[in-house]
Amino acid sequence: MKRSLRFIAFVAVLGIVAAACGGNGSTSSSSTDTGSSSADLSGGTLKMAMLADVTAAFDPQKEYYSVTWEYYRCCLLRTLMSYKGVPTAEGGAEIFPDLAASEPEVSADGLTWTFTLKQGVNYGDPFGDVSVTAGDFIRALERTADPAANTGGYSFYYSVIKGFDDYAGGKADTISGLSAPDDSTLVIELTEPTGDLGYRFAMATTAPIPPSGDAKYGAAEGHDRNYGRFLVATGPYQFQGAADLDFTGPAKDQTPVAGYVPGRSIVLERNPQWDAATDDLRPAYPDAIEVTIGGDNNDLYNQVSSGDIDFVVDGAVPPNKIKEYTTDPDLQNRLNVYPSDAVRYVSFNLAVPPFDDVHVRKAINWALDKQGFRQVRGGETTGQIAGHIWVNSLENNLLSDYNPYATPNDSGDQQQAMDEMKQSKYDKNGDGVCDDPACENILTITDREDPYPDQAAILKDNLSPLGITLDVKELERGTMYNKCNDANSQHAMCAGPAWGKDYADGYTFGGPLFDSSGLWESCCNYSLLGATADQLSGWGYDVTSVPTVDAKVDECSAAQGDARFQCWADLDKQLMEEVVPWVPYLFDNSVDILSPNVTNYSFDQFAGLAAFDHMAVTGG
Amino acid sequence: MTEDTSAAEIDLQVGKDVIGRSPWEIFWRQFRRDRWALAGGIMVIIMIILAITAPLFAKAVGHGPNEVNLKALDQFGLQGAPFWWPCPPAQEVVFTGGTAESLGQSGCTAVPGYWLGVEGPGRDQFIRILYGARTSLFIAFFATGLALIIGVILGIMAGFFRGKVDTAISRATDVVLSLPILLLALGLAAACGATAEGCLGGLIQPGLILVGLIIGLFSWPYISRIIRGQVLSMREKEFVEASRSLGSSDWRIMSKEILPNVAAPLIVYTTLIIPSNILFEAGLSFLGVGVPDSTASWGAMLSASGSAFTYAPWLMIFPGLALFMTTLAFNLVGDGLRDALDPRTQG
Amino acid sequence: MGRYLVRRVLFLVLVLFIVSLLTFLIFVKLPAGDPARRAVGRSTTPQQIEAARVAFGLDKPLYVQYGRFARGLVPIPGWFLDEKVYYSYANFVSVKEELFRRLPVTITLAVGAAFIWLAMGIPIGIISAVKRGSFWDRAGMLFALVGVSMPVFWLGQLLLYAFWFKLRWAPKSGLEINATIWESIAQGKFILPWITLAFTSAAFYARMVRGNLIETMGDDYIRTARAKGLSERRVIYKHGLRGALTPVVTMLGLDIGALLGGAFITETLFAMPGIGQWAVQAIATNDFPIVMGVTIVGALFIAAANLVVDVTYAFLDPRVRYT
Repeated sequence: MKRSLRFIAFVAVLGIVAAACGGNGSTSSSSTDTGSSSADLSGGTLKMAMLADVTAAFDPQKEYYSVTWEYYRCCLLRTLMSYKGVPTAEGGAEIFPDLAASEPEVSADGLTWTFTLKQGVNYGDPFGDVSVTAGDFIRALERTADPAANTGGYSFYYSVIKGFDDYAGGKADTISGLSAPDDSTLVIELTEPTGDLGYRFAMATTAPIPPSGDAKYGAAEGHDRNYGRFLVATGPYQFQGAADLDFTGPAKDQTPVAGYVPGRSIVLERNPQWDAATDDLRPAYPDAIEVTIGGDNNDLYNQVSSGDIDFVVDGAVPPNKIKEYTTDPDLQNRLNVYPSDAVRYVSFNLAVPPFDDVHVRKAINWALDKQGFRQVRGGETTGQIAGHIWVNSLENNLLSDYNPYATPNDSGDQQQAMDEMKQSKYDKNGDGVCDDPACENILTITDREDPYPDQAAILKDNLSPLGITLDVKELERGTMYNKCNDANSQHAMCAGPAWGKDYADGYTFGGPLFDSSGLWESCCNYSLLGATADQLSGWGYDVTSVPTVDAKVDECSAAQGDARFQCWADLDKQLMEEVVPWVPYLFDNSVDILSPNVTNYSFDQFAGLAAFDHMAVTGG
Repeated sequence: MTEDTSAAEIDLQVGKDVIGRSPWEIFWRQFRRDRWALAGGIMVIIMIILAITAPLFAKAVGHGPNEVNLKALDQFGLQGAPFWWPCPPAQEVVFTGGTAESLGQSGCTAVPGYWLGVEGPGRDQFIRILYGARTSLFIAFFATGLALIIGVILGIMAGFFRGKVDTAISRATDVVLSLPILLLALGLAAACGATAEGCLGGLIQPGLILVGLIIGLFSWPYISRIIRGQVLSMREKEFVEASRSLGSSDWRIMSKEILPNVAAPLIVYTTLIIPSNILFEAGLSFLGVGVPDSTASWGAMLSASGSAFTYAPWLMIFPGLALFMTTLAFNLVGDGLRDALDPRTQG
Repeated sequence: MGRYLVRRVLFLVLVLFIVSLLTFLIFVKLPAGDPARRAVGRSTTPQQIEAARVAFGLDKPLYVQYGRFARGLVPIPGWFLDEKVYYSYANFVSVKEELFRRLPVTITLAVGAAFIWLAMGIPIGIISAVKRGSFWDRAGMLFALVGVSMPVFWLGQLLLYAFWFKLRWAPKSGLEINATIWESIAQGKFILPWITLAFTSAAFYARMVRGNLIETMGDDYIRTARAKGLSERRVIYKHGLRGALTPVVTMLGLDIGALLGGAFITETLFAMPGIGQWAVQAIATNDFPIVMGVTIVGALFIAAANLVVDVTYAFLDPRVRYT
């Protein structure tokens, strides 16, 4: 019943757009030749398990979940640009042309992007004789804009396209900024220069939807709620039984694909139309991928140990397995640990006393036993102790050794914490112990799944010498995030959240987490940074002002190249030393254990998960 | 109980072969002969004493129920074993992080001072189990008591007044018995327990009371049904008629004449409902909607230990045993009481 | 009889109405559970939330919302679990479709478990009653006591560990992809869940059968039978058992009815894709249409079982008819 750690490690960025981000990413098309080894590794059936189903039944316009993104990237959906399914060090954070024949051409003013499509790429069953054309991308983007079809998705990334919002608002029948002069050319006009547009066209919501008769949304017509179960593939795999899909009748009479039973199972078979010659990003080793959905976390990992299944997609490796696989030399090569580009943290609500006082926030930064927090997660395998906020890869490692609250062994320093507390207005007698009623029974929200209740117990233990006592509420994960985000909830601390990137840019941290545009009821600025006095009183707070970093976020999102990295790093320092909205405690690792059947593994930095197409199994 | 009702009482419950002794005396003689029931009773008493004296034990051992000791975990966060546990000898010494425990590759670490091992983030499992007894016993008495009060009042009213009152109460009982109880309990616990505000405008906060209320609200119909049946058969007995002819009010008859006479079956069923309520709380905790982590609960401990069989059996064995022994004890007592009150089914 | 039946059916409708209303009140006004917010995800605008609210009908007054759901509970084709209202707020899958996919698993679980607990409970109860006070009686009743005191999830985890992980006699938890119910039964997938589910009930039934049989054997008609010179065996098995097993039939009806509403813990523990597992997931994510559908189906099974039991009784013994 435990949801994945990674479930929360997807990032939401508001409809405000990161400015150009040159240098990083789009280099010339590189072809990684996997041909020689693929012959040895190909074949067999990869057996996986998931604790919980994907979030929106595979509808590409709705799925905003890293696990589904991996299914799309590895297997089902090709996009104009895409990733290689490898770690950062091997280029896993970079994008490469996929359905595009080459890098896009960008006009001098940065407002017009032109993609040229590869020739001869056909859809999977039942559209095997249909080629991918430029109009199919327009269809997908129109569906992305359509509020009836995009529930829970990330359409805000595409608001920069001219006419996108008009279409979304029902004011236009087409998106004026999208045009297809011919079948293999897609022209995109933007309202403002957007350097990272390539990354946005590497996301599955832009994947082509094939035409079907005269229907506006092609195969997706009439499937506003359930296109995922009728999904037409372009990648190396398709849902089993895709050939039986029939789009001719009325949508409500069509039978969904057999290979995906929501809440039960996913079966992928090879897409007969997929041609390795047009795809140098995906080795596509297994012949089939079978996934069962549901079960108990510990039980599933026991099944991996026993070889009954090969891999658990969305689980958390239990500490005893981590111990077994790190200490037993025979098992070590079946343990895979990669930074998942996510940070775990405790956030303060700066509008709730005593956290309106920076000294109290700093004192807690000194007091927190980060080592202990990591220990109950399973020890050092689970991540690197965090000394700051942005994951190092987003700052080009500028702050990799930075930790303004370094304590011996990262276990917290009560003396430093008390010295800090002495400077607080909530410690009137200056003995280092808070003596104000505001420090009693502080409303703290956390996740009810392991190991968060354990971490909360440690937190209580760490804070009691400072005179701070907590009233901890353990909530179901989705509810917890809603409550942390809800400025009306008057919570003082959020002890269970984590944050990961959507793609490799510092804005995916700075914008949603610390800019005032991320405030309730948009996204994820739990500390209420940048809230106005009116907003604060509207939410029922007595505190009238909180710090803001809006200007710095704007400065960084306009910066380019190395200056951009430096800017995010400066903001990071400013937040850690002056604003102190968080205690970041862990840069999270993705930890996977594999069954004895798995002969090849690769970590996909994009989704922060194993790359399913790179996994090879015996018996092939 | 007054002497003048004893004849009827004996006739009602005990049967034919005993004359002249008070029913309690007879009952006690029967009960005392049942060694299993006595053992159960002693276990219940021990459990109550342990629950009451838990803080003394905590003081003696030196760990509170919520006291965290990360040194009692290994560097993978795995909990230490009881000090007497036969852990395989350490094969290699790993020194990392905040702890300096030595560990075998597959082994465990026995931690001195922890009688039943370590639980959660380095808490003393022995102390936790003692405090867990408080939770279980609280549920046992609070939830069952609540069920008892509702059930007795409604049951007596239904049986005594009959007619429309009976129909209304009996139908209400039927409705509650037809509810998918666990589902609604899960829903209520999720609704009130999974939010920071609680429910009913913050009146009901997540925690022990909430779980007790939920369980109590769903278990009264069993009691009310039994009481109703008893009262119906008793209503026409001579002593009730006598009391009525003397001009006693309905209230007086119900409280002075009928209630004492349904006390015996009531005690039996109460004793038998207690263990099922304890299991109910454990089940809710297992499904993740029970009491919060800061309140020790056997069900929550079992739930958290998951498949700890493989690497830390003590995490499953001791809370499991505590839960099992307590329910067993109550069941033994309940059985003994029932047999003593109705010798026909006696073994 | 006809009038009695009508009255009972009306009562059933009343029960379902009350259950649906209770469920609606408990779940819909759940403070943290704004389904619209949950559906739009973490990054959103007030407009998107409003759009989702409208799509889910949450912008309407409460009684209209209830009416929408209540209509879907009327068993008329086209109304029953209407897909326009009864779909998952998370993945939009129709509740009806999913219900009928999951029901066979739960039915198999319930019926198989009932078979096992009857096969264990009744003989143990009879032996204990017939050989009262013997070693077998004591052993049987000890088993029964252990059984009723055993937490289901503890037993389930223990069985899984011992018979799958250690001994590898039983298959892993969960069902194979695309396997039919019969194939899953043949693969032994149901054995451990059946045992887990049956253990407590077996103990309970053993106690009940023993108690009933002992009581029945003291009844007048048994004495008469004995007086007629029938053999003791014949008295017990022909006359005693009939009286002792009638209440068992009642209990069985009610227990199976309750189990068909989902075996929450067992299904969760053994990754059985039945109604119970579904309900637990839906409650955790506050997926209201599923919760409503599952609750009503659960209540329907319990109420139907009640009805069948009562009507059967009324046929057998006219005195028990309700006034």
